[in-house]
Amino acid sequence: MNFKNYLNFLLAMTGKEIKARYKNAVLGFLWILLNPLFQMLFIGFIFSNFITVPITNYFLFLFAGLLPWNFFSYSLTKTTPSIVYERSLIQKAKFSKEAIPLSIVFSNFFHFLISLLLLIFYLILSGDFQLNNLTVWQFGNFIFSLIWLLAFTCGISLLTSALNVKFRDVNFFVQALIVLWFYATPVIYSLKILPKNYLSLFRFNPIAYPFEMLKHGLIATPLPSANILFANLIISLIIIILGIFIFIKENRTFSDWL
Amino acid sequence: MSDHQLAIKLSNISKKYILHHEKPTLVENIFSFRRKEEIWALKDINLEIKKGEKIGIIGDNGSGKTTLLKIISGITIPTTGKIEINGRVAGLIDLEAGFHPELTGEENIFFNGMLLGMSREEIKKRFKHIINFSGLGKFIDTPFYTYSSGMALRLGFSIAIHSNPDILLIDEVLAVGDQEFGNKCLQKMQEFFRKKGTIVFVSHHLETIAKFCNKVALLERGGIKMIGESKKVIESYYFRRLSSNTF
Repeated sequence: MNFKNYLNFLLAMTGKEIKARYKNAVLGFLWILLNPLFQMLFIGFIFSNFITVPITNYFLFLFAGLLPWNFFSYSLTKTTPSIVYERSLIQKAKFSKEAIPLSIVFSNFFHFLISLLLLIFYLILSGDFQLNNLTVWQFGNFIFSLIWLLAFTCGISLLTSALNVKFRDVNFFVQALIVLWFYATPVIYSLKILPKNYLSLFRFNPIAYPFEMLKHGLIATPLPSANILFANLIISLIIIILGIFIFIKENRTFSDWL
Repeated sequence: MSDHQLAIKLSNISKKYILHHEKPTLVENIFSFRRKEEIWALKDINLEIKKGEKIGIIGDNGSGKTTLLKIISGITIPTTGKIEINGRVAGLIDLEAGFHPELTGEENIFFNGMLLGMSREEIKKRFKHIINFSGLGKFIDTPFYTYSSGMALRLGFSIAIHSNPDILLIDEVLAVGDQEFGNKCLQKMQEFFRKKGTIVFVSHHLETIAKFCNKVALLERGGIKMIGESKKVIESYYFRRLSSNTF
């Protein structure tokens, strides 16, 4: 298969994911936005009334963090068992199997981008965000964080989906991990409000820094120290490379395990 | 014989499977030291199939027929040995699989066709033929979940046969579908025969094999027991089964 055909195939798989998801949903694409909106109202209600978080404009802050979190968590929970779920495809023909998890990540990324655009639209309308105040630095952070999150989500999805074929309990580990990971990621809080001596822990969460970068780009929250950046980058790269490596090694014998 | 006249060349192909009694898990792998049970589904297979040859594969259940087909189609790889394929392979395997229930027939044609290795342009070019041959008519723009299994099968066959393969792999597919469509498939396959396509045909129907294939390989416990002219191999297999009383 040449490269153009490969891209078309990946695109068709992604399109299938997107179409299939909203085909029978009455509200269709509105769900992309309703979901984080409800989450925001709910979590925001708790953390601005019962337990107060010292962050101004908390609802907006929360929304900006929930969008990337939903992208990441939906992707990972859906890709991990994806190869096993698509066993009938794998038993049918020879094709590029990485398209199965990648198409799920891409379709979620597509939704993520749309909801980001709507958020930016809101920010401009509400006056919280003025295009002429946007620095190149902020914009660079924003773009880089998107690429980082996409690459990392692809990498870890390749890893978990490939491993789940031989070790079916990987899916359960991931489900358990996702719940904990939410609290370990600066979504409902920012690293700025945490005690200094805990900050070094965030070096081990590869998505901590890109989350802060994204929010820095969108709502100009401060960035954490560069130590965390480098540690996060290195761990991300290791997981991405490991994911690609293991997927390449395992994918040709997937059908033996399904 | 020079290799470029060959459609398929298998050299010393062996395939090992690990037998699972339950779902494989990580926990089990770490905490248990149970020895893994292994099965050799294929052992040291050497097979050369010339371009345009129609070869039948017969043998008892568990003799390795399906594994052989899976290796030729590239669905899995052999544990050891080398395989060379010249040309595009299409498998008439699991015809009803690979469709998405929520998408329409049309959308599924694109998706399924690309899965079988066709490019978007190729599918567009043959789109009308695929629909006409499948006989789905007005159902083509309804979601796939409304299709009967016969309709799914017809669409699956139509896409596979229109992918313009050089090598066709058939796994017991003719037994299913209604009479009229069965005849249509047969016609289409005979067309493929005339075009000098290569066919690998796995079946329990010895009569069909005898009619279609000029050469037959008999598999037994993962090895090629006998290979040669259809009539001779089939007869020998038939008498062997009679004398061992296995059916």
